[in-house]
Formats: sequence, C-alpha cells, structure tokens
Amino acid sequence: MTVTTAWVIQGMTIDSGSVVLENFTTRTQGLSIRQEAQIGRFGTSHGRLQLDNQDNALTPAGGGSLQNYDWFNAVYKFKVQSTLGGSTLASDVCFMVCTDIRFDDDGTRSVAILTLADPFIYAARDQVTAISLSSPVYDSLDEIMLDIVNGYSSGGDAITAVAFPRFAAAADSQMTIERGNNDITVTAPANDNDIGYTGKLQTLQSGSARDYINNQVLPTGPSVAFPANVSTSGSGASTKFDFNAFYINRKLTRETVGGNDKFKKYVFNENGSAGVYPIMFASTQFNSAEVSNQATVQDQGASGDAVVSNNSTSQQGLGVRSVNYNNVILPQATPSQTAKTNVAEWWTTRFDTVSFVTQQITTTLGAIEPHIDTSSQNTNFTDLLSGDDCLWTYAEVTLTPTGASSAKTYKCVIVGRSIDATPSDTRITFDLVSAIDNQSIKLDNTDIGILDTFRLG
Amino acid sequence: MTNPFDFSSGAVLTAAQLNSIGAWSSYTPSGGNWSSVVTVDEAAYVEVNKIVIAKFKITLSGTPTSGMGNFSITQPVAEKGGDTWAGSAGGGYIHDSSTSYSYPVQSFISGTDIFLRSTPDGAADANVDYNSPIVFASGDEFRFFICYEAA
Repeated sequence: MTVTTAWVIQGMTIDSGSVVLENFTTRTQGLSIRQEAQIGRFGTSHGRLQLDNQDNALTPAGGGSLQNYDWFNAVYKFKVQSTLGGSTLASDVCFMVCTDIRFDDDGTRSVAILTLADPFIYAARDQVTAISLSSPVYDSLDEIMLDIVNGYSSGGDAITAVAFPRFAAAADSQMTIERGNNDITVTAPANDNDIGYTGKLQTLQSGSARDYINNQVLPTGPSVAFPANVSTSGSGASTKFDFNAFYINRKLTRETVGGNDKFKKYVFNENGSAGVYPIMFASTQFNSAEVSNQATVQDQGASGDAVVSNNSTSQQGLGVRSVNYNNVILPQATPSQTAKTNVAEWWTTRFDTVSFVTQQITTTLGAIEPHIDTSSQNTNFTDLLSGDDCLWTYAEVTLTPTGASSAKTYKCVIVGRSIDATPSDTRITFDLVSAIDNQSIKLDNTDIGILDTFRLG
Repeated sequence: MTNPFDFSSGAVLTAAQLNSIGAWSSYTPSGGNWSSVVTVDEAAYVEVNKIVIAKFKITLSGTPTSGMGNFSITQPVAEKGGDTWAGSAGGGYIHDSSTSYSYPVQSFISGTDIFLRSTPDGAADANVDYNSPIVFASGDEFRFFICYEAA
C-alpha cells in the first residue's frame, strides 16, 4: 500500500457570505509555482497555470460556460491530495491571484495561460502616505506587519489598510499571521540585549507597505515571513479572505507554538526508502554567496552614528561582504548603539564562514509515492508539500557522490522551491541553505541541538 | 528580558536568554506581618536554576505594634521545604532613624515568609519584632538579602 497523489486547482470567490469554488483541475494542462523566503524580506510566490480551452468555455464573451469568469477577482488555490489506504490528506501548496491572462490559439490547440502572484503583491502596489503616530507603538514584529497591512487605529492615530481586492466578498480581505516560533519576553521599550523580537512603530515613510516591511520591519529582527495559505473568516456579509503569512523570528528555528509543534524534519537520499524522499538530482556547492562579515545598521531617525560590525577574521579570508540596513525600527525611545550592534552582529557572526553544503535537490511526486506507506509518513509528506510547513524547515540530505565510496549527510534548511506539474507527474526542486547557519540550537534535538556546532538564536 | 529559567526541552536557546542569567527581577512582596506599616523601596531577586538570591530595602511608614508579631516578608520564589534554618543564609542591617545607629540582622526562612533575627547587646538572639532589637518607628529602615534553594 503506497500513496497516490492528485492536484486540485480551484478559483475561490465569496458570494453572499459563501465560498464559491470553481474547479479547474480537469482543465489544467500544466502549472509552475515558485516560492521563496529570504531573511529580512517578505517571501514571494508566483507561477503560471495553463488551462485547456479547446471547448472555448474560458474565452471572455465567447459564449462558453465560463465566459464571464472574473479572472482577476479570484484567489487560485493549489492543493495536492495524497491518498493512502482510502484516507486522504490535503496539502495547501500555494495560493495566488491572477496578474495576467492570455488566450493562445494556434488553430489546433487553444489554451488559457494565467500569470500568478501571491496576493501580498498588492501590499507592494498600495502607496502608504507618510504617517507619524503621536506615540510609539511597541509590539512584536509580526504584529507591526499586521498594523501596516491591515491598518491601525488608536487614540486618534490611524494607518490605512492595504486595499486588497475583496474577491467578490462584501468585506475587506486581510492578512493573518501564523507563528513558527516564540518571542522571548521583552519589556517595552526593550533592553539592549532583547533586541530583535519587537519593534517600534511610530513613523512610516512614503512608500508601499511592502517597502516598509522589507526595509524596516523584517530587518529589525532579522526575521522571515512568507505567504503560507488562504482561508476565510467571518460569516454572512462579513465573510472575507484571510491571506495567511508564516512568520519566524530571528531564531530561525521552528518551535512548538500554542501546543502545535512547528518544527519539521524531511529526510532525502538517493534511492528513497520508507518515509525518506528520493533525490533525482543534487547540487552541492560552497555557500559563499551567503557570507556576511560586515553589517551597517542605523535606526529610523538616526539616533547616533550608524553601527558598523566587522568580522575581520572572515574579511581577511573571504573579502568584505556587506549588508546595510538604514531604517530599522528598534524598540527603544532613543535606540542605543548597543541595540544596533545586536542586530549588526547577528549578520557578521552567523554568516561569517563558507561551508560546502547541498543547495538544490530535485525530486518528483512519482518517485516519492512508493516510499510513503504509513499514515505518519503521509502526514510528513503532506507537510513537505504544504505552503506553511515546507519553507524554513530542517532537511537532511544524504548523498554518495559519484565515484565516492561513502555517503555524506548535509544538514540543510529549505528556503525555496520550484514546482512544475503536468498531468503525468510533478517535479519539485528545493533550494537549500546550511542548517548550521540558518537554524539556532534547539535544546535536546538530535539534529540541530549540537553544542559548538549550532548557533545561538 | 526576565530570568530565563526553566528551560524547556525543544525550546530554542538564545543569546538573550544566556545573557539574562543572573539578571535581577523586581517583585512586589505581598503579605507579611508588618505589611500595613512598611513601604518596600526595593525588592528584587535573581534565580539561577535552584539558587535564589533576594535583596530588600524597606522603610517603615508607621509604627509596628506588639500584635503584629515578628517582622516578615514573602518569598519571591517558593523555597524548598524542610530547609528552614540550614538551607538559607543572609543578612543585613536595621537603621534606627531616630539615633542613626545601625544593628546587624540575619535573615532566615520559615514557612512561606522571610524573617529577620538579631542579637541585642547583652541579650539572647531573638526574632525582630516591634521592640527588638530596637523600638521601631516610622522612618526606620531594613536592608538585607537572603539566599536559599528554590523548590
């Protein structure tokens, strides 16, 4: 007994308080999805969906059943169902909106091709006018993101929400956050040693909400956030879309949050075995592109000089590699030099060396299916495919290089993936980085709880 | 941040947590036999695993009476039971604001409270109460610390 998989592609809208699903699965000739999440920047999803239009049903004003479908006013949800012994689990792989659609017809074949992006693209389009709150708001960085995207109002101060499309609902769509780990307890304003978990929202410079998140909020951790899944909330006329983002603070390591263990482990090797995912292709490289040994950090408002953290040992061996953040929102009334240093040294101590690590692996659902034969393996497989449990998770890759006599295991973290699916199979390429640099030591964990190897959060 | 203990298995260890080991946390003592006549100027403690050290500066805002019993104040962290005498150590002094004299005291634990004991000149040691080692009045001060094992 092994698992079988199937894609489900749906267009979602809300009509009179009810979610309306248009199923495009049988029309889908192919799809591609690209998802990535970097440190200090909001992650992105984009892709393409090719639909069969041989019956002309999709063509606007073409007289077909979907001639009036509002392509730009729907959320497209991509799921993979994995069925084992009659029990089916579903992974919410991705959700996106249509940014462009074209109808190609060569006289023989007629297709509709959608260009897709995650809905947070609207946070990059919507201008935020410069705002100055009368008093600072100290809060965790994810809550500050929500204030910027969903709007804020208190004591006469207000920030206007990003104008997401409603996708036919009567109520405004909104952003929600799923946390992947826990903040430490931080007073407000924060002590110097507690920087990186909270921020100070007081002024917003002109720009988009996404500019503010990418240049000021997430670099203050630094933290990670990326589109995860879509759901609806409310009832009746207030039913609305919730665009869920997954947030991981500067520890980078997932923890148990609210009783749910968010830490996941995926194991890959060349041939696969029970619960172990087979690799078709692997690329192992030196991760020199990730090196950071000089960091310049200045707070918004520029209190005092910018702090420049230099790791001279690393610089002597690898040359100078800089990162520069000019507008972090440190949670202090007048940010101290020590607080800035806390952020700057995070970069120059965590990414100061080069290691040889697997950076890309490719597999297919068809190759994986024979190795999933228990419900727990199916759960792990479902997590691997999902939007919230794949990125920034621990992955262990074991390879025997061609010509070598012994295998080598690399501890990695998944930070991106490319999915290319056709009706016959699905190919997935995972982008990996070193877990030693991109996780923090997790107590009692056999994989990343190793003293003198893994780093402090 | 506050004292990071206890660490939980599976939690991620942070530099901020390690740097806060030994950090003092303020607390507000509750109860105590003299609570109606004391002003707590400072009460703070540090906990490192099972080791607890607490420090206090207290000023009398009124005059204690014989009916109040011995001076006492609540513990910041519950003490390991059974170590009432041998398991705690500490000391400090009482300052008589009317004479500007100071008197050494030893701190100890009994039950859920911290008490003080003194040795007046030419007399047996005794718990600090309304008239031992001095006749207390508003403005007199207590400054002391105690260390003990947490439960």
